[in-house]
Amino acid sequence: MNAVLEVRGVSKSFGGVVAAADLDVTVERGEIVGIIGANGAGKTTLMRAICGLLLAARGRVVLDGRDVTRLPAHRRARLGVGYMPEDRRLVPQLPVRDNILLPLWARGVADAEARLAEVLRFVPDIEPFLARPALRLSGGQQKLVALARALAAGERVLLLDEPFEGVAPALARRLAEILESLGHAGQRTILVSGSDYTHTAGLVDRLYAIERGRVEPAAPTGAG
Amino acid sequence: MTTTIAIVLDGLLYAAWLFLVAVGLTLVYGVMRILNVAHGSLYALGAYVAAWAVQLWFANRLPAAAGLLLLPLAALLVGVVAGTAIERGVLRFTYGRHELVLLLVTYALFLILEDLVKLVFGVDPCFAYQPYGLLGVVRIGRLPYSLYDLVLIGLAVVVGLSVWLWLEKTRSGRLLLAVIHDREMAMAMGIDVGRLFTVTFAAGATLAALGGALAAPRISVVPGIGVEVIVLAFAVVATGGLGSVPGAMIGSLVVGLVRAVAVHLLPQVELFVIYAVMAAVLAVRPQGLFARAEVRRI
Amino acid sequence: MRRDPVPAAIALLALLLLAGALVLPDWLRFLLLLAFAKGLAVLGVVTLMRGGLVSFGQGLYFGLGGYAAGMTGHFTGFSDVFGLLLLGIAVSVAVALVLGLVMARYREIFFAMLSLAFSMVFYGVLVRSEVLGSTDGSNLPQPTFLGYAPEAATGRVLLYLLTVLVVAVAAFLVHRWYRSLWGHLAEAARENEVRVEYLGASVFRVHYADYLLAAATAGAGGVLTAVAVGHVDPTLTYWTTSGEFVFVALVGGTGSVFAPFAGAVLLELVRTFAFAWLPYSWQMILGAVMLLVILFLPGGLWSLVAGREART
Repeated sequence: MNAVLEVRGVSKSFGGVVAAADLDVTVERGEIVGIIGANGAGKTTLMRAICGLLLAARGRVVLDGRDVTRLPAHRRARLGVGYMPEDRRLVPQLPVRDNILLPLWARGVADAEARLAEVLRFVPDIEPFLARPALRLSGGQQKLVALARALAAGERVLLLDEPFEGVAPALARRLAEILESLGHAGQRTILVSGSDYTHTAGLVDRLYAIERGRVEPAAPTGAG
Repeated sequence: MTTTIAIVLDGLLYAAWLFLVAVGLTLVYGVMRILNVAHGSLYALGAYVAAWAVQLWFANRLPAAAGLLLLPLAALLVGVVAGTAIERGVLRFTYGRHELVLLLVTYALFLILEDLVKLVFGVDPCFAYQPYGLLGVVRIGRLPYSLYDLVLIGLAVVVGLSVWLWLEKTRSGRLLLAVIHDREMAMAMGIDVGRLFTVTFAAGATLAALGGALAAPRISVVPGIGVEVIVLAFAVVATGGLGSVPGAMIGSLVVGLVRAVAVHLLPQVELFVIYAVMAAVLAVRPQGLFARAEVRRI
Repeated sequence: MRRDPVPAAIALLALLLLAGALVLPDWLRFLLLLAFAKGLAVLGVVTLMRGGLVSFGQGLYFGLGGYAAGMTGHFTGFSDVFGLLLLGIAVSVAVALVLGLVMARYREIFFAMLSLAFSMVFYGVLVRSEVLGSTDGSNLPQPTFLGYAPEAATGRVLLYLLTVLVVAVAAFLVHRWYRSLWGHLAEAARENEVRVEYLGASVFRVHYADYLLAAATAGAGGVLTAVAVGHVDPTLTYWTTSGEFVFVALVGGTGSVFAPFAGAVLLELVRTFAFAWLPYSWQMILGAVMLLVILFLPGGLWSLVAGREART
C-alpha cells in the first residue's frame, strides 16, 4: 500500500449531534484528494480529527502505515502534517517569516531557512512582505502565508481546510495554481476540502463527497 | 530632600520585591490563562526553604559569603520541584476549562499548600537574617542603606529584562507567543504545548519562590506571609495589566511608590492606598494600565 | 401547573429548626446560628453566581453589616437586634448602591478581582483605624429585643430563633427572586448576554440588582454574626472569609436556596471536628474537597459555567 493517510471509521459527535460517522478516507502518495460537502457536513471535523485537535470517539487514523490515533496533535504535526485552517490563524504580532518558521522551530528543524526558501519557490507572492507583521496583511495575503506555513510543516501530507472559501476569484485561481504546481512537483500529498466543486474539481485526482457526517467516494474526475 | 530620597528608595525597594513576585504571576496568566492564587504559597515555600537552608548553613559555620547563594538555589529547588508537581499533578487536568474554574482550582491548591507549609515547618517564626548583613551598608545622602536591599533592586531589573528578552527576542519566546495567541493552532504546528506549560509554570513558581527567598533575610518567616503577598501581587498585575511583563513593572513601581509616599507622609492609609490605586485603575481601565489589547484573531 | 413546593419546605424546615431550640445542645445551636449567618452571605454569592459572576469579596458586605452593628453598639450602646439588623442591611445596601455602579460593568476574573480589591480596601481601613478598633476590633453590648433585655442564656436562644426566621424569610424572598423575570434574566445573561440585550432587558440592571441583593443578605449575616459572637474584628471582611463563602457556594451549587445553608452547616461541623482531631489541616481539607468537586463533579455542583464552557 502506498497510502500516506488512511482514515478508518472515524466518528465524532458533539452533544448528541453527529459531526462525523464512520468516515473512511484514503490519500495515496503524491495525490491531491478533495473532500466536498456543504457547511456543517463534517469536513472540518475530519481535518481536525486527522490533526489530532479532536479525538475521534471511534476509528483510526493511520499515517504512512503508523497508527497515530492516540498520538497528540503536536506529535502528529512533527511527523510532517501541515494544517491550513479555514480561518488562517496566524500570530498577528509576528512577522510573516516567523509565522512560516514557527512549525519548523517547533520540531527543531536544523535548516529551517533552507526550507523557507523552498516554500517560497512555490509561494513567491509573499516574498516582498516577509518582514511585515502578519496583522498588516490583507486577508488574501494572510491566506497565502497560512498556505506557506502549512507547506513548511507538511512534508508528508497537507491538510487544507476550505482554502477557496470566501476568497476573491483572482486569489482562488492563484491558490489553485500553487496547488497544481505542488502536484506537478510530485512529492506533495494533499487533502483539500471545499463546499462545492468549482475550484476543486479541476485540481484533484479523486473526490469524496461528505454529507451529514458520512462520506461517499464521488465519481473520479480524472487527472486535473 | 532626605524624605524624598527615602521615599524613592523605599518605593523602589518595595517595587523590586513586588515585581519579582508579580512577574511570575503575570507570566503564568499570560501564557496559561491561569490566575494562580497558589503563587502566594510558592512565595512562602521559597521563604521557608531559604530560611531553613540558611539556618543550617550558618549553624554549621560554613563559609558565610556562599550563604548568599543559598537564596536563589532554594528558590530554584522550590520552583522546579513544587512548580512541576503542581502543574503535572493537578493543573494539567483542568486545561480548557473556564478561567474562573482555574482560579478556584488554584485557590484550592493555595489552601492545601498553606497547611502543608505549617505541617512541615511548624508555626513558629523562622529567621534567616545572616545574609542581610553580609554585604554591609552604604550611605545615600544622610541615610544608611543596606547594600543587600540595593542589590535586590538591581536583581529585579535583571530578572525583568531577562524575562522580557526571553519573550521578545528568543525562538522559544516566539513559540510561547504562538501558544498565547492560539493554543490549538500552536499544537497543530507541532509545538509541545504541554511541555511549554510545565516550563512556564515552573518558571513562574521559581520567580515566586525567589521573591520569598530574597525576602526571607529581611522578615520573620511566619505562616500567612503567602496570603499578604498574593493579594498585593494581584493588585500589581491588575493595575499594570494581566499577562503583561512591562505592565507588571509599571504596576510594581506605581504600587511601590504610592505605598512609600503613604508610609512616610500618611502612615494610616498604607494598606488601604494600594488597593485603592488598583480599584481606581480597574474602575477606569478594566484591562489595567498596560494590558495587551485583547489579541485580535486574524 | 404544579405548586411550587419550596415555600412549604422552607416553612417546614424553619418550624423544625425553631422547635430544635428546645432540644439542641448549646454548642450545636450556636454553631447552627453562625452557619446560618454565614449561609446568608453565601446566598448572596450564589445569587451572583447564577448570573455568572464570582465575588471574591463578599466579606466586604459581611464586614460592613458586622461593623455597622458593632460600632453602633460600641459607641452608642444601642443593642436592639432588629434595629441593628435594619441598620446593617441599610449600610451594606448603601455602599453597594455606589460600588455596584462600577461592579456591574465587570465580568469574570475582573469582577472577582475588583470585588476582592474593594473588600481589601475596607480591611485596610479597619486594620489601620484606631477608632474602629484596629486589628483587635471591639465588643458589642448584650442584645435586646424590642426593649426586652433577657439574661444572657435566654438572649442566645432568642437570637437563634430570630436567625432562623431571618434565614427563612431571606430564603423565601430569594427563591421568589430566582423564579421571577429577573432571576431568569440573570441565568440567561450567564449563558449569553447579547441575547438578553436583544430581549430588550439591561444586563447591567440585572447584575446591579443581584449585587444589591447579595449585599443585603451578606449585611444581615454580618449583623447576626457580630451580635451572636459579641465581637467584631477585621477578619470578618478578610479575603479568606470571602473565599470561604465562595467555597460553600461552589460545593453547595447554585441549584437551590437550601444549598448555601446546608453547605455552611456542613462546613462548620467539619471545621469543629477537624480542629479537634487534625490541627493545621482544616484548610487542607477545604482545599482537597474543593479540588475533588471541581475535578470530578463539574456538572453536579458547579452549574455556574456549564453553559459557558461548552461554548469556549
